[in-house]
Amino acid sequence: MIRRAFFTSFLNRQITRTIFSSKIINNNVEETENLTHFGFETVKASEKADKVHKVFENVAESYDLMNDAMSAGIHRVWKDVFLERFYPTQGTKLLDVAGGTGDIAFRYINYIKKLVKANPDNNVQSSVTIYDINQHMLNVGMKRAERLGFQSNEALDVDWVCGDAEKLPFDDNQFTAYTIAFGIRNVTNIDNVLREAYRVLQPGGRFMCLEFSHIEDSNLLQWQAFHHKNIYDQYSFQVIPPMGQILASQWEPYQYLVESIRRFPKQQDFKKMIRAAGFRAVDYENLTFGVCAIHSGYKV
Amino acid sequence: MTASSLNASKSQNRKLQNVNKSHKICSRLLSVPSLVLYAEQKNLDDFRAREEQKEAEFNKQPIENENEKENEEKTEDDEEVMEIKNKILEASLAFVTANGWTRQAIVKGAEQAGYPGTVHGMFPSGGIELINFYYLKCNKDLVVQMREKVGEKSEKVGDPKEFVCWALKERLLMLDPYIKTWPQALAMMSLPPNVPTSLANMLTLVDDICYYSGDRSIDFNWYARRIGLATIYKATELYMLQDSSPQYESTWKFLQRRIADASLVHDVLIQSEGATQHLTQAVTSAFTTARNILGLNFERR
Repeated sequence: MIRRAFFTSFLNRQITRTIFSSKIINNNVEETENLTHFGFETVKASEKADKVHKVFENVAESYDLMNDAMSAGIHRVWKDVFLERFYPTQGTKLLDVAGGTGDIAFRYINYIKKLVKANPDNNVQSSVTIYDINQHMLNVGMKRAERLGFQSNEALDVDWVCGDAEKLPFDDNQFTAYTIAFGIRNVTNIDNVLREAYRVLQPGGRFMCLEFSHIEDSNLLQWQAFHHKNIYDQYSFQVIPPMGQILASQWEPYQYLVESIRRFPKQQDFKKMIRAAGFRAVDYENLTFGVCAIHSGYKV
Repeated sequence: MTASSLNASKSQNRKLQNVNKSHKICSRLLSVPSLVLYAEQKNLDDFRAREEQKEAEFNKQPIENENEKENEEKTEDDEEVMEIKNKILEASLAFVTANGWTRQAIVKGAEQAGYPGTVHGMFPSGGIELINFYYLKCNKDLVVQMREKVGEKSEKVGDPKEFVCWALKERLLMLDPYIKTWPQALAMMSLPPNVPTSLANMLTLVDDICYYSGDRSIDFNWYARRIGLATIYKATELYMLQDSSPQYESTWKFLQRRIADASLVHDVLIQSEGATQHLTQAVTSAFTTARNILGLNFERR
C-alpha cells in the first residue's frame, strides 16, 4: 500500500513536470545560430549531440522492447511498409543511417535474400552499410545480426560503421539508396544531414526517411478526450514516459522522445527541406493518420 | 431544340418579366406617366451597363493562387522529372518481351538508361505506368501519321470509312512487337484502379481518329461515332490476340466487316431519327454523367 502511494505520488510529480515543460514550447524560444532544441528544452548546438548520445546509450538495451510496448507493435508494420515502398532490387547499395539495431537493414537483407533465391544466376553484388552515431546501438545490432544470421555472404556485403550523419566518411556518388528511420529527428542540423545524403547518393539514387510526424486534421487521434488535449497528446505525454519508467527504468529519454516529435517539421515543411537539398520528385505518405510519415526523393 | 435549352429560354423570359414588373412598381410610385417610359428604359440601360462593367472587371481579375510559387516550382520539377521518367520508360520497352509489363522491366530499363535500380520508386504503380506510356506514345505516333495523310485541316477525306479502317489498322499494327505480352497489358488495364486512365486513353485515341476522318458533328452522332469506333477497336484488338494468320490477314477482314456493320447501323439510325430522339437524349445524359465521373469533361480543342 505504502509502496503504491509512493509510486503514485512519484508519477504525479513527473506529470506535473511534463505539463510544466510542455508550456515552455509556447514561449517559442528564438533559435539562434548556436542554439537548438533538445525536446522542448533549448540547448547549445554543441551540447545536443552529447545529450542525444547519452539518451541512446541508456536505452540501447531496452530499445526494441520499448518500441514494441509504446507503439503496440505497430512500428514493425511501419517499417514493413517502408521497405515495401522502397522495394529494393538486386545491386542496391544501401546506406542505412541511424540504423543501429538493424531494424531496416535486416528487412532489407531479407528482401535481397529472397531475390537471390529467385534469380540465382544474377551475380550482382548488393550491399548495406549500417551507420550510427552510437556504438552501443551498433553493438546491439551486431549481436542481433549474429543471432539471426544476417551476415555478409557472396551476394551481399554488410558493414557496421560508427559516425555522425552530418559528416559521412564516404565518397561522393557511392550509394544507390539512403534510408533513415526514426533518426533524422535527433540530429542537430537536418539540412546538413540532407546535404550529405545528397552527396553520397548516385544520380537516380533514392533518399527515404521514416519519421514520426504530425497527425492529420480531423481523425480519431484528434479526439479531445479530456483536458482539451487530444488523445494522441494524452497518450504521448501521460503514458509513454511512465511506461519508460516502468519497463526500462528511464523517464528522461521517453520524455525527450515525445517532445522531439513535436519539434520536428511538419510533413509539408520537411518535404520543402528535402527539395531544397537538391532532391527531386519529393513526396510523402502518412502512416496511421500521420503518426509517422515516409518521405522520399531522388537525386537526378 | 433540346428540352434543356427550351427550359433555359423559358426561365430567361420569366426573369425579364420580373424585371419589368419591378420597374412598373417603381414607375407607379413615381406616378409621373411621361417619365415612366424614359425611367424604365434608362434603368434597364444602366443595369446592362453596370453588369457589363462588372463582367469586364471580373474577367480582368487575375486568378489568385495561394500556392502560386509552389506550383511554379512543381511544374519546373515536373518537367525535369518527366524527362527522366520518359527516358527510363523508353529504355524499359526493350525488356517488355522478356519480362512483361512489370516492375522488373522498369528496373532493367533504368539500369540500361544509366540509373540505379532504386529509381523504380518513381513509378509507384509499376507496370501500368509502362503500359500507359506505350499507349500514349502510340496514340501520338498515330496522330502524326494521320496528319501526314490528310493534312492539318483534314476537312475532306476521300472516304471516311476507308480512312478509319486504315487508321485502326495502323494503330493495331503498333501492338505487333509486344503481341505476346499484350494480353497481360489488357488485363492490367482493366483492373478497377486503372480503368479511368485506360478509358481516357482509348477515348483520346478514337477521338483523334474521328477528328482526322473529318467528323465535325456537334450532335448525338459525336458520341455514337466514338463509342462505335471504340467498340470496333476493342473487338478487333481482342481478335488480333488469337489471330495466327500470316500478317494478321483475318484480323483486317474482321475489321472491315465490323466497319461495314457499323455504317449499316448508322444508316438505320439516321433514317429513324424521330423515333430514336428520346432514346438518344437519355443516352447522351448518361454518357455526359459518365464522362463527368471519370473527369474527362475537359475541352480538347
